[in-house]
Amino acid sequence: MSFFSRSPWILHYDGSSCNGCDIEVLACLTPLYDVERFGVLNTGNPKHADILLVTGSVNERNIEIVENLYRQMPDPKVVVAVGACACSGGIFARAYNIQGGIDKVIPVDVYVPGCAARPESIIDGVVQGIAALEAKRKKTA
Amino acid sequence: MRRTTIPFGPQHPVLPEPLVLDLILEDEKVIDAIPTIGYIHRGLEMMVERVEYTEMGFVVERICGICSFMHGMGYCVSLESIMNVEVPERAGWLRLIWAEISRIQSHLLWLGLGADAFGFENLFMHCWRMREQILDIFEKTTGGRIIHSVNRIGGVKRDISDSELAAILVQLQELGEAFKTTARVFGTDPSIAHRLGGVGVLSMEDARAVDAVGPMARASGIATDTRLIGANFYDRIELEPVTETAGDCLARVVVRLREIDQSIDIVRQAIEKMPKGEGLPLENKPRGNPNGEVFTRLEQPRGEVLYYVKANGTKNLERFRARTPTFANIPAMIKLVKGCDLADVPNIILTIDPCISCTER
Amino acid sequence: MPNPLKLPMIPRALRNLVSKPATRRYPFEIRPRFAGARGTIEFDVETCNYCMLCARRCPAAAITVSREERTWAIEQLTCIACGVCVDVCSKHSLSMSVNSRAVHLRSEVGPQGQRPGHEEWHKPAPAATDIPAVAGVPAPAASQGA
Repeated sequence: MSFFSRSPWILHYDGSSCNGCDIEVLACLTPLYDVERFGVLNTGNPKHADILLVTGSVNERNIEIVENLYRQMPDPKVVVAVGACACSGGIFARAYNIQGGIDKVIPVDVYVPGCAARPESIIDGVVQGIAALEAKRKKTA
Repeated sequence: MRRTTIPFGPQHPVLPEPLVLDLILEDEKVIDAIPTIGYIHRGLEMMVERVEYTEMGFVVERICGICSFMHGMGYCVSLESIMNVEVPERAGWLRLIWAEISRIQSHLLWLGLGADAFGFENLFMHCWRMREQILDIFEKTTGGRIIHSVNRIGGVKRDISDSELAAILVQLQELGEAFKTTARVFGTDPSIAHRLGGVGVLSMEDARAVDAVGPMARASGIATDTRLIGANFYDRIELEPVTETAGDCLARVVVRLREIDQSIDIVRQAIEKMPKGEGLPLENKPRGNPNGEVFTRLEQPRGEVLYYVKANGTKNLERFRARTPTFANIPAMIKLVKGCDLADVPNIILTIDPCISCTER
Repeated sequence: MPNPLKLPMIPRALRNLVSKPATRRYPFEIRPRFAGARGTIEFDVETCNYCMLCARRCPAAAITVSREERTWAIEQLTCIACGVCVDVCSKHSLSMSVNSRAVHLRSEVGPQGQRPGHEEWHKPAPAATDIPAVAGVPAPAASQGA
């Protein structure tokens, strides 16, 4: 399988999420789910990261931060939108300062639905993200 | 001396949430901290204009994913008192049980995050492994791990059968026993005592002056607990607020450790005292539209939360406001951060148990 | 001063070393979800009478119903699985399944940038009995339809 060939690092950013999906992303790192089995490591530095996990619906203030984090990541890079808010705005799509989805701000490669997204779905999303990363790497190489 | 400004957040490894502080340093000492807010502001209170009051409960639940149940409960309790709807007794007790289980969940989560912040990753994993058992209870009984969506105006959506309640109690008590070994680590490990003991001391006078709430106030020796006002069946529960006197980061950890045991005991009392049987009424459907205004207070895992609801007889509420515990604790946090070492900032911030999405909504 | 030789984590760590791993190897080992877990909304096009109550009550506005074109659509990426539509459906056309929703990829994004996860049902031949008596009034046609 392609996803065991490299160890992509993950950067997580909470773009106006309610904490539900953030906590589930963290839960993926804990013993019961343990995404580190796939060689994935959570990092705090965008310059080390290959996969950006964004939760939340991105408000006006966060646009700049999300764009900045995305710019700082080295190519090839993959964005995984986790949760209904990140995918489309979810229940907050009608709020006045919400963009309604990360894909309005940066290009999204994988959409993980759910409110809150379950750890199993997040693992699925990360695995798909790793595959997308591998495809991008082949294209640029 | 030259001053340095260090930006803390919005993207910071210690906290998954975008808390933004500009730390102004002289040498290694923080002399000022300037918080910036707005990174999770979703304009949730304004959504009452676009979402009908019957569905607003689902929006309120998503103020925060950690204390989601209590937010939903607070909204429903507010609307019930405006519309004079009596909650069936079993539904009220079920709410209390879920609320206490979510307090255990929140404290376990926080203890894990706190352990991660002071660099004890092993403990973080332990706490979160136990938390998964609580989430399983939630998924079994409410259908959701994080967002429960069981509160309705006038009652609850789902029942828990008596046999299942007994099983939950056994599971919680076993978890409480297993947690004792982990709690002992928090209480006796010398590295933790060195890292947290005497750091970020908030005296009782200061806690009163900055209006600290919840475990933050209780760790400074103030026996305050909104559950003592007795609403929502808490008057039938024997409950003594957990207090510590040291007021430092370690005391705040110990308060939460002891509150886990307390919550398990409250669940036990509730299961003993609630009306038993199958098919008891769970929901009294409200009629018409709400008209009036109300304040509701609840004790969330992080402290007192206050809801203000004003309705004007239409389908949409006129005003909804939530004052969340983290909002009340931010002055205390700023006070503690001033004068501490840069290396202690993550610990101090985490021991107030910040929930930024509650604060900014 | 705490005793530096007291290391309370050691027994716990040793026990962990010899006990079974806590990890559930997820993609290879799937635990079935609990009965009553909220997962995906499922729709039965045959029984729907297009009363539009689900669309009106959905807090996330994920459901769109067109009575004229007789279509019922849900955005799976917007749906928050609160279960309100299942509760209000008088025809029991909607149900909540325990399965999680599928992950979508960028390749599924439409040519005009439509997000994936849009599911639409259409009932082409309207049977006479299915049309609500008062067409155009957004009220549940439960009593007349049955």
